[in-house]
Amino acid sequence: MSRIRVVDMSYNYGDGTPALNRVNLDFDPTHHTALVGPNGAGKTSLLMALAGLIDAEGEVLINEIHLENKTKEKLRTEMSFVFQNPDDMLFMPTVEEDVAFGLDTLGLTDSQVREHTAEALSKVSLSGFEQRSAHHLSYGERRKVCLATALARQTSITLFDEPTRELDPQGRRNFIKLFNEMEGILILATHDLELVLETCSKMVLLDEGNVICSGDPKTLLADHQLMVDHKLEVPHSLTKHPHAH
Amino acid sequence: MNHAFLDRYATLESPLHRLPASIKMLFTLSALGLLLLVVPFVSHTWGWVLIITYAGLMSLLAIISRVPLTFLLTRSTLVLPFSVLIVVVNYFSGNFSFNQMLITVSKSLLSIFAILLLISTTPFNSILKQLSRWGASRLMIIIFSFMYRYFFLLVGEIESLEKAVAMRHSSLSGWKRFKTYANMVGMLMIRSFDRAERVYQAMQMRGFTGDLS
Repeated sequence: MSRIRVVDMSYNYGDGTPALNRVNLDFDPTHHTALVGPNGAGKTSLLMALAGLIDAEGEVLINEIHLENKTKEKLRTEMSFVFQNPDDMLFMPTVEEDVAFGLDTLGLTDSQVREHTAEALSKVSLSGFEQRSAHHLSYGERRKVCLATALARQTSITLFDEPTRELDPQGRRNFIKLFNEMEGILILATHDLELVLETCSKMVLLDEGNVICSGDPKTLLADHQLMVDHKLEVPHSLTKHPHAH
Repeated sequence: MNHAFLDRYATLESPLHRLPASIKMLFTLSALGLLLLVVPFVSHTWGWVLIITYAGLMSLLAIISRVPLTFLLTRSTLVLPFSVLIVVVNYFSGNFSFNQMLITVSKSLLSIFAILLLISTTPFNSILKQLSRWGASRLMIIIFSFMYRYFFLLVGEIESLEKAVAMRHSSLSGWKRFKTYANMVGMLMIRSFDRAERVYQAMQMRGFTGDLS
């Protein structure tokens, strides 16, 4: 079973502002985890550090292997990362090539690459889009292609940065369905607190680079004072409706 | 974001659009070759005959393709500042006669017109696929693909910045205008560097180690 351990992780932005401050966390496949916090809390920095994309102080241990320059390449074969902005992820001439990009580095044969690509595109309802250019697609469709790139890799760890940002309600609903069908360690950073309730069994609240608390999302998100203290709001579905019967 | 700066008409329906990419590309290459290699070696009279025939043929093809002539002409003139600068320098340094100046500017306009007509009648993917069939390296195809994709993103960002400026200051002029646009260029550069960094990170996450071959 995969496991990620973060030990004493700290990271400062280029201007010296702390983004992460001695963060200690554990992730395993039994809980899908949401990283929640106000703007600048350190959510994206934490995801980046988990993927070894920024050089943070402290340790990231993936299946007890230390994530460092020597091991990064190998460990990343176990990971997928869905970036916040689809335009950062889609650069190949066609959708098919974009989804297939990098699959050969996982040791897959050409026919397996085609198989994984077709399967991933079908899961995100984009079969038939193989020969289209990503930049001619709508924003929601581009987000789906990004999701397909992660699904095609079939890795045991998947990181999502604001996966539902700017998605229409149906796109958001489809994402939730796909996310809930996925297996392995799933970590998402988001401001969409209703999404957290629908997808995650664990929540980590971050603020100014510190882990404030972690636990059951329903309990934490219902705590009005905790939410207010960290510039968040109790999600609508957890508020008491005075006129409800 | 408007990402149809150049190839917005590539998916129109016309006899020219239906032609295979290979035929259109071969024709464009031959026409460019004729224009650029033959014209300098014939007399001015024959040079003008060739240029006028070429312009007539291109206009006819543009009409058949249903791509608006105004679109092709306005986009073609984007090269004018560069070609005019070159011929003026050559004219004043005594390398070009007035007639040669006009021929050179016409050639540059018509070359861009021919390329625009090709792009406006052939989806860029089809052009890349054809290049690949002709044996172009994967590295070259991917570089073209990157350029094409991020060119549109850059144009989109320029448009967004321009709109933001227009919404807050509709009558910029003189020094203020220059200063604002200089800041915009700086901002675009920073955004481009940031984007390049993020794209590279996304590629790294998918196993990219620097080898695109």
